[in-house]
Amino acid sequence: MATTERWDADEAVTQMYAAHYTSLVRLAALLVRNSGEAEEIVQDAFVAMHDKWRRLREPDKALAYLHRSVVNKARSVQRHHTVADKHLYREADAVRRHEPSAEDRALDTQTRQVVMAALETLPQRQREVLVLRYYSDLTEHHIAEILGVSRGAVKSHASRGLSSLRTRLEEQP
Amino acid sequence: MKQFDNHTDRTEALLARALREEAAQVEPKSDALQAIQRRTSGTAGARTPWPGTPGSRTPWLFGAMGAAVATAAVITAVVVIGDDAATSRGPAPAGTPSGGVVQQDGMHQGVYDPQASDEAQLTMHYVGPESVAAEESARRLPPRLYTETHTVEPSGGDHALAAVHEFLTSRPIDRDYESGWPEGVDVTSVTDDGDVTTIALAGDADLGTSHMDGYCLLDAGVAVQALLRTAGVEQAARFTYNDKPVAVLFNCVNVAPSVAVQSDDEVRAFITIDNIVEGQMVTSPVTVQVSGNVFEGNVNWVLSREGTKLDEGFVTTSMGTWKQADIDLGTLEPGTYTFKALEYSASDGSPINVDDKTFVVE
Repeated sequence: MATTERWDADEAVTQMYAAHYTSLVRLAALLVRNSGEAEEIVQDAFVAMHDKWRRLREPDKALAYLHRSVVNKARSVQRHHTVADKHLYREADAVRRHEPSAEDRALDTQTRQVVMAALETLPQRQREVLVLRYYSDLTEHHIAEILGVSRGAVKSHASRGLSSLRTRLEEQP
Repeated sequence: MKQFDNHTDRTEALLARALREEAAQVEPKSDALQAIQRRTSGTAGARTPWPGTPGSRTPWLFGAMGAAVATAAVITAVVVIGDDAATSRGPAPAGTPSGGVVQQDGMHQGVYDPQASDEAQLTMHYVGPESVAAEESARRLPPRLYTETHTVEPSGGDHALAAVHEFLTSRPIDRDYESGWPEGVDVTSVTDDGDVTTIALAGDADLGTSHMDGYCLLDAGVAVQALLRTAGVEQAARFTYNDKPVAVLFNCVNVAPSVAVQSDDEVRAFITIDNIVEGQMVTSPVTVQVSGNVFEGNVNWVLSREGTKLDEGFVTTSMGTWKQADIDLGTLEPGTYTFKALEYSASDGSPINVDDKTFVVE
């Protein structure tokens, strides 16, 4: 029997929190571009997992369940955001964020901002696939499971997303 | 720019590093776990998992408010316990195509009025508390189906359509039960086409129409069976949702080209209380009817009031098939009681296959 099968709902939350909370919040933050809302999204996902813990057919797939919840909730949040909201959130985030060293800021901040800005121009599904692939390091199979699409669709979204990203980055001076 | 990580493509490498560095800027709050635990404390998932144990989904006794709420859900004042009016009554077979689209008016609380006409009584089949494998207490089993009679305004029309509409748009009277279906979906027609019944659904709920096993709940298949039984489907059914054929429900239940009705052995609850709806008002003396299909046929029962056990015993039903038996509780003073029928695990003595009802004696 898998270890997760022995957990009760409270223990599942504690264990999954210790192992995955930070990475899930960061995943959500990459999707909604707001760390405060990212925490709310992930906490909602944990509460939902807790409520359904006894009914999960395969509790060893709890992480897939959390990923799915986070992506869905992030999508829902994004639908309700206006462009103006996003700008406000980003400003608030910037205040909260840890500032890198001057040397890092000179190189990485600029590069990162260019890449993140290019990423934001992509269609939602392509962005989700790229974040799950290149941040969460998930396989095509797992991404397909989380997004509820075929592996072929994941491959296609990733390919198109990367191609668009490449074009946009090449356009940069 | 230098090559990053294992990604051979420069864009991939740039993206991976940018995402990592961007993510690293986000530091979760230190009290997040406590925030989650505050929200999960006292919820269904926090309760002790096994039915019948303190705090489980099957309560020994409702709290004062719970009993009041449950009682309020029952319209009527008096019913003669033992009368068939309160027992399971099968819905009419799915019949001719229904003409009208059922109005979507949101969720409402189910009610039961034993004095209403037969036409107004609809039998809901609900997903009950989690099942527990007697031989291995930690093994997860799908929950099973229980029935509950709901009283609706007689429409004079399609019985199956009315039943499914009530199933999808009302909350069970017994809080131990659930439909297993999300809010935001309703039925538009139930059409019997020979061997296969077509159930047309509509709404904006996510029905999990793509396969995703990791997101699959134990009761997913049982929830589909609950709807089939409530619709009176005899053999098999196919689904449409917003006019499109459905191949998968709840991320893991294959329903294409059709899904067959499962047998009692596969989905029916092993022990059920048949003639009391949760919160029902009854007259004394009281007789409770239970159905059982359990080890050696022995169904144990406990009568309690305000947390105090008043009486207990057992009745012999059957093993291998379901058999109904009467339990005569005798004359009871006015008040609120809880009757619990259950089996004790042969392996560890824990309560399993529990059904319980709170009722009010006038």
